[in-house]
This record gives sequence, C-alpha cells and structure tokens, in this order.
Amino acid sequence: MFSPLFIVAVFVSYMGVLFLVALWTERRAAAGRSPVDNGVVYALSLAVYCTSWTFYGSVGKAATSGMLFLTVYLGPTLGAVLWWVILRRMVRLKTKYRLSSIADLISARYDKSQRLAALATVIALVGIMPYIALQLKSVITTFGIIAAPSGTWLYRNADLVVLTAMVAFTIVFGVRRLAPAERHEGMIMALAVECLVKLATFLAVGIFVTWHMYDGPADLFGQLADSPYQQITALGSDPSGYPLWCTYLLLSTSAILFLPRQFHVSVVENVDERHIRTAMWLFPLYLFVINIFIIPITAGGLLSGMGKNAADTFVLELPLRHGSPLLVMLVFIGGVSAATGMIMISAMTLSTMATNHLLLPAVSVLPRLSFLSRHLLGCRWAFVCGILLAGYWFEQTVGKALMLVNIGMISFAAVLQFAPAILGALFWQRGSKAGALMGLSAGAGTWFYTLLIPSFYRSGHLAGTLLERGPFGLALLNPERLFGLGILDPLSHAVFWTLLLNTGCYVLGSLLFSQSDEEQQLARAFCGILGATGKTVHAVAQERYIPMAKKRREIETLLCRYFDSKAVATATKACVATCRLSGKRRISITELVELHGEVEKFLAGAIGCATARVAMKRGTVFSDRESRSLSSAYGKILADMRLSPDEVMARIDYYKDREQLLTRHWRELEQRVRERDHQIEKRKKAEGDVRKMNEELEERVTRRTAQLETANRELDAFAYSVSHDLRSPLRAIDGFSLALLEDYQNKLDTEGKDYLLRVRKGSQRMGQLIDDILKLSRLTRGQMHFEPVDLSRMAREVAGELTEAAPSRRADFEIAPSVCVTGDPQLLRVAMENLLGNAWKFTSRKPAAKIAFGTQKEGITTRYFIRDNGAGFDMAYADKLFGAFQRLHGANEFSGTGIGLATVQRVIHRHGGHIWAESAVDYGTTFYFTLGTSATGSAP
Amino acid sequence: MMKHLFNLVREPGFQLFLFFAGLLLFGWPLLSIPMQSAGSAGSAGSIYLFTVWGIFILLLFLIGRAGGN
Repeated sequence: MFSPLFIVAVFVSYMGVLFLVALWTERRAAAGRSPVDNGVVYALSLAVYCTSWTFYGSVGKAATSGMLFLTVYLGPTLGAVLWWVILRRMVRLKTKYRLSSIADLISARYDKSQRLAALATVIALVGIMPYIALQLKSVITTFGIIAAPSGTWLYRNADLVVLTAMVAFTIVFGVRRLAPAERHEGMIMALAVECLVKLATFLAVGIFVTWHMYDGPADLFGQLADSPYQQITALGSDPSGYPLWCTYLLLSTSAILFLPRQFHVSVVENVDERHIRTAMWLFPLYLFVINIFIIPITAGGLLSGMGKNAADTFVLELPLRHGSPLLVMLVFIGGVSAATGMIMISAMTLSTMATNHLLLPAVSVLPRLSFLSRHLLGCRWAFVCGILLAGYWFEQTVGKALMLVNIGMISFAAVLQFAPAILGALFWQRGSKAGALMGLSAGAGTWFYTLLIPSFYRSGHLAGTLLERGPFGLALLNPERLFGLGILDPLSHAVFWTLLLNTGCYVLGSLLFSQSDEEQQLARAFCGILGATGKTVHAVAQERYIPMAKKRREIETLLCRYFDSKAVATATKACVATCRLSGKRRISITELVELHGEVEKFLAGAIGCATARVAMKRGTVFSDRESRSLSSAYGKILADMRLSPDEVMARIDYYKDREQLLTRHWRELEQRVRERDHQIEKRKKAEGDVRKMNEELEERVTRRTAQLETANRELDAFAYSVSHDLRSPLRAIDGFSLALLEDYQNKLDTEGKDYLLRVRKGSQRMGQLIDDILKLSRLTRGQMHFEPVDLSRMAREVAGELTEAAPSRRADFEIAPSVCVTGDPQLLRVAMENLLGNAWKFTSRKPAAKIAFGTQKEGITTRYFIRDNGAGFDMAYADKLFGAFQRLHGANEFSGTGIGLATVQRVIHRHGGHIWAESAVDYGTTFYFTLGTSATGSAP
Repeated sequence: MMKHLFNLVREPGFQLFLFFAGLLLFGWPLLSIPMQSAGSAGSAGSIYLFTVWGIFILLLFLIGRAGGN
C-alpha cells in the first residue's frame, strides 16, 4: 500500500518523462531527423490497441471464459494480412485528401457529405464512450487498490484527480495545434514508449507469478490440471462458445482498423507506406508476447483462492499479496500507460471529429455561433473535457455493473458499423452516399437498441420488462432476441443483426439511389487509389484575365472565418506559391481552379473535407465569364484528346498516381538534403574551429618568434659587449706583460720572467676561450644554407692544411672518395676541421699516425666516421666528451680549450643528425656521426 | 529456395489465401478439434492456438520481407 500523494507523484513524474521524450522527438523532427520515421516506432504505436483491457480485462476474461480472450488479439493478426491492401489505400487517401479522422474518410468518399460525417462522428462518440469509461474505471479501481486508505482529500477525490490528469495530458500531448492532419511525432514516440513500458511490466508480472510464486510452467500447469479451474485453457464445454468466439474474432479484426484511435495512429500518423510492411508482422508479434502470461497469471490468481469476479485485478493483486511493492508500482504504471495512451488518442480524434463535423456545420447554420470558428482550438479542448466527462458518467452509471472486457466489446460492436461503408468506399464504385447513410443509420440504431440499452437495464438505470417481454409487450422486438433469434448470446446476437441490417441497407441504398457526377468521380478516385497517378496538365493555354488580387482577397476573407490574420496571410502565400502564381497580376481560369483546389486541401486539414467543401462553395464565386471559360477549357481538352470522359478520368488517375510517387520521392530527397545540410553545417563548424585554432597557433608562433629574435638580438649584443669589453683588459694584460718582458728583462730574474710568461699565457688562453665561446654561440643562431657539399674534398683540404703546418710529421690520411652530402658548407667545414684537427693532435705522439675518413651503411642510414690511432680515452668518460670546456686529457698533454667537440655536436645537431664516439686508451678513437634525411647525400 | 518463397508470399493471392486460412484455423469448426481435450497441463487447445499463431506471424514476417525486397 502506498500513500495517495506518493502514487500521484510517481504517476506525474512518469508522465513528465513521457512529455520530455515527446519534446525531444519534436525538436529532432523539426531539425529533419525525426526518430519516429521508421517501421518499428510505427508498429509500436499501433500497440495503443492494448489498453487497460489487455492489462487487466484479458485475465478477467480468461478466468470466466477460458481462451476466448485470445480472439481479441487473433483478430488483428488476421487483419494484418490484408493491411497491405486495405491500410495502404487508406494511407494514400489520407495523403491525397488530407484526411484527419475516420469520419473524414467516410464523408470524403461519399460526396463530401456533412450529414454522413456528422452521423459517423455521433456513432464514434457514443460508441467509444464505454471504452473510455473502461479506461477510467481501471485507473480509478487500481488506484483504490494500491492506495492506503486515508481521509485525505486526494484519496476521497481520486476520481476527480484521475479525470483532471487525463484531460490535461490529452491536451498537452495531442491537442496543442489546430491542424490535426499534421503529424504529432512527439505523441507517437511517447505512445511507443508507453507500449514498451506496458509490455515490460506485464511480462514482469508473468515471470513473477510463474517462477516466483510457482516453480515454473510445469509446476503451475500441473497444479492447474489438478484443480477445478482447468477449463481456462479451453473454450469451455458449452457449444455456444463457438459463435461467441467467431463474433469476438470478427469484432477485433474490424476494430484494429476502424477504432478511431487505431485509424489515427495507423493512417493519419503514417508517413511511409513501407512501414506497413514492418507493422504487419511486428504488431502481431507484440500481441503474441503480451499474451504469453495471461493463462499463468489467471491460473496463479485462481489457485491462490481469489474469485473469478475479481480476476480483472489479478495482475495487481498477486504481487500486492505476495509483498512485492516495486512490482505493484510498476504494474500500476503499466496499467496507467495502457489507459492514458488510449484516452489521449481517442479523446484527441473524437474532439477533432466533433469540432469539424458537428460544431462547424452548426456554426454555418446558426450565425450567432460564428464567433466559435475563430476559437476552434478552444472548442477542441472543451470537447476533450466533455468526452472524458461523458466517459466518467458512463463508468459511474453502467460501468460498475459490468466487467471490463464486456464494456470493451460494446465499443467494438459500435465501430464495426463503419466496416461496410468503408470497405465499400475502397472497393465498390457503386457504393453511394444514400447507401452509406442508410447502412450507418440502420447499423448504429440496431447497436444502440440491442447492446447499449440492455446494458443500462442491467445496471439498474432503466426499469421495466424490456429485456423479458420486449417493448410494449412485443416479444419479437426484444433487444436480446430480435425476431425470435434466441440461440445466440447477446453480443453475437447484436453483431449479427447490426451487420445484417447495416450491410443490407448499404447495398440496397447504393443500388436504388444513383450517384451524382462528383460522387462517381470520387468513387473512381477512391477505388483506383493504388493505380498510377500523375500531374494535372494545363493542356490548354488560357487567357489570363482574372485579377489575382480580387481572388486573393476572396480567399483571405474565407480563411479569416477560421484562422487569425497571420495564419491567413501565411496560408494564402503558401497556396499561391504552390500553384506558382506568386507575382502574377492576372491568372487564367485553370490556374484559378488549381488555386481553389490548394486552398480547399489546406482547409480540409483543419476543419475536415466536408466542411471545407461547403466553405469553398460558399466563400468563392465564379463570375459568368469565368464559368463559361471553365466549360470551354474542359470541352477543348476533351475535343483535342478525342477521348471520352471516362477515358479522360482514367488518364487523370494515372497521372495523379505518378504525381504521388514523385511527391513521395521528393519528400525522401528533401529529407536527405536536410540531413546533408546538417552534416555540412557540422563540418563547416568543425573547419571553422580548426581555422580558428590555426590562427591562434600562428599568432602564438609569431609572438614566440618575435620573443626569440629579441632574445637573440640581446644575446648578440651581450656577446659583442663581452668580447669587446673583456678583450680590452686582456689586451692590456698581455701587452703590458710583453712590454715588461722586453723592457725590463735585465732587471727581472728567471722566476719573475717565468711569472710574466705565465700571465701572458693565461691572458692568451682567456682570449682563446672568449673566441671559442663566441664562435659556439654564433653557430647555434646563424641561418643555414643548404647546398651540395663534397665532404671528401673538404677532408682532403683540411688534411693538406694540417700537413703543411707540421711537415715533419709522418701521417697517413685515408679519405673515402666522393662522399657528398647536402648541408651548410661553412658549418660542415668547422666540424671537419675540429674532428680532423683532434685526430691530428691526439696522434701527435705516434710515430706513424693513421687518420681515416669514410662512410658506413646501416640499413637505410649512412653514418660517417673519422678514425685515428691516437691516444684514445676511457669510455667511462664518454658522456663528458661533448660538454663545453670538458677535457679528458690535461692541458700539458694536449693543448686546446675543450670547446671543439661541443662545437662539432652543435653543427651535427643543426643538420638533424647525431654524433658519438668509440675509443680505447692508446688504441685510438673513432667518431661517428649521421646527418638528417634532408642532409644525407650519396656515398660510395 | 528463398527466392521462390519470397515470390510466392509476395503474391496478393497468397495473402488472401492466408487470410481465409487463418479464418479457418482460428475459427470453428476446426478449432473444436483441439479444444475438445480439456484440462490437461498445457492443454491441446492453447498449445494449438499459440503454435498456429506463431507460424502465422512467421508468414507475415516473410510477406513483409518479400515486399521489402
């Protein structure tokens, strides 16, 4: 048990989530990426067929009548076989005539008759009222079961709260806009989600009963077989069960098409005929799955000792009694889902029908009500409230006396009355308005008399002996034994008579009364809707004499009766643009007819076909000249084509079909273009972001470069200042030391002279160090000029200079020929001079120095080497080799500042290469270096 | 073989045949045969109905796919 406030909060939250889903869907649809445009969502939305009757009533029916409940789902499966033939026709007609309801379809076919539309609306309103009552009953009853009794206002007025909530949700989800022929993607997606929720919760209960309360299906059915309830898996032993079975099958086969809510989701909300192919098997599969656990749940309830009369609530009571509060709440939500879906769609479509086919015709007859035509949306909301209140009244008066499933069948029998007129409309050209009127009236009247009135008697709201002796004692007119037919159950009896009288009157009326020309035209169009269609061609060039402004004002005056000025201006502009008449001052008669056709189509989407036709007839006028021109134009077409009127109509049908195909193709292309535009936008945005990033990076690079250049300039200045400022004192030290040595050598002793020599040497060395530092710093900053460099020739030149400087030394130079690279010649010269100079220096103590320069191939890399057999060094100190001013030998062993190899390393690094050495003490050293990919050249 | 099957189920005549076959299989008097066994665990009636229903849905699936192809 839950507190009433908690239940309401959960319910409102659940509806809030559905609303967000609907909102998200509508936004995606507006962006051209509707998630609803697929066969799966379409098929799931059809599952609005499974209302709280499925959720609760099926179990109730199974408890009392065994497998009879299954017919409610086998019927739609049978009907699905013919959907490709029947449903597809209705979808095409909806597109062509902008139909918004089942009453619209019937009226559009039969001469756009307002009377027929009104009659169909009344039948739908009265017929569906019990069904709405059933949904309200289920929600109120289940609320009462799971709510903990309390004296709160909420608990005492649960009925009112449920009713108000249903009205609010219906308006919010489905009656926000005036043109009901437009799609409600958000509502359809919410519906699909609801259908999944109710399936999931029902399966959860089934699994709970089968595997938690019992040990699986074998245990459950085993106990059932040993109990007095085993007949729930059969049809019962009464042979009269079979006529009822067939009746249920027939009613459910027709209900899947002709229930107003089913018509709306399967026809009005369909955007692609191909979705029907998916729905043909997916919807029956849904029904199959949701019915798998009906018998187990029924068996579980009966075996637990719960009575058959309470079977409607087994689904809720079983988890409640077995202490599973979460499952109880889920079941409640599932049941509410099942009810709200049905109520929303039904109330929406019924309010549309009532507004278009009852209110507007009344407004046209009673001028005092004309102000209502400007408040059609408000009128629809009022009708939603009225319909739900009527359903609630029915629930309070009749519903309490009947089980859920029996109430539902009364509604099914009501919508069965549409079947002869609609099937005749689609397949029988002779079907006429008179026949449809007669058939619908006879069928509806019989239904009212044989089903609805007895239900009022049974609930105690009508007194008398009608059901025992018939009206005024006439037993032949007993509503449940009409003309003495007493072997059928009341429902089968009612269906038999309604169908017989309905179909009989329809056929008889159509044969006895002829059709008007327009009716014949419509009959051909309806029956041939699956044939080819095409454009209407202006075969005749007509004189343009009709002032466009005048006709435009006429149209605007007509539309102002139903829409505000902004909507009128938009609609007029759109119709003119569709007919390619924008900017034209004068138009021809055929262009005028086309424009009127476009305006009528627009109006039909808002107020229904029949009322739109009447409005056009009243609101637009052809002058005498215009009428003569029109007759002459059609006559000329016929004469030129040398065709009979029938042949002309057949050809027009052919081109109209083609036009439909092209329109469909155009819509698909439009959708693809929208998607591509979206992708292009995304890519442009990404490119823009990348461009922005690049610009920022370039800016940063420019700033850094400027900073670096500033730093380099400062370094240059520093270096110049260092070299200049330090050299002066050094020159002074060296110069004055020399002067002392030369001028005062007689006065200085040996030690003094030695000190002065040391001072000179030190200052000279410092000068050398300063020069080396400056050279090293310049090496890293100067611009490089890459050009082909012959390293072999360079090495030979350096070797020559070294030999010339010390001609007494014996040294063998082995220089590999034709070693060419691409690099900076000056820098490479510095490197070769240092490397060969080092080799020359460190081999100075060897009697026969050997110095070699060459290349080695290592894979794709070329490495260059300079090898000597000089003093070598301990490899343990190899890491210090290239450090600035690092020396591995004392200055007294070998001269030098220790900057040479640091310089070589810098040069090699600037060429993108690297340098290393291998050596052993007294065994010589080999320096290896590589140059970067751009610098590597040819080598032998 | 699938191609032949698809060609068969695609025919409007097959769909009409399937409709009437369904009326027979789900209707009386054929239904009375399995329904006469009463009360056994998983009685023949319910097993018959769900099995035939399942096969029916499979055929509808093939019709849907054949039309798509």
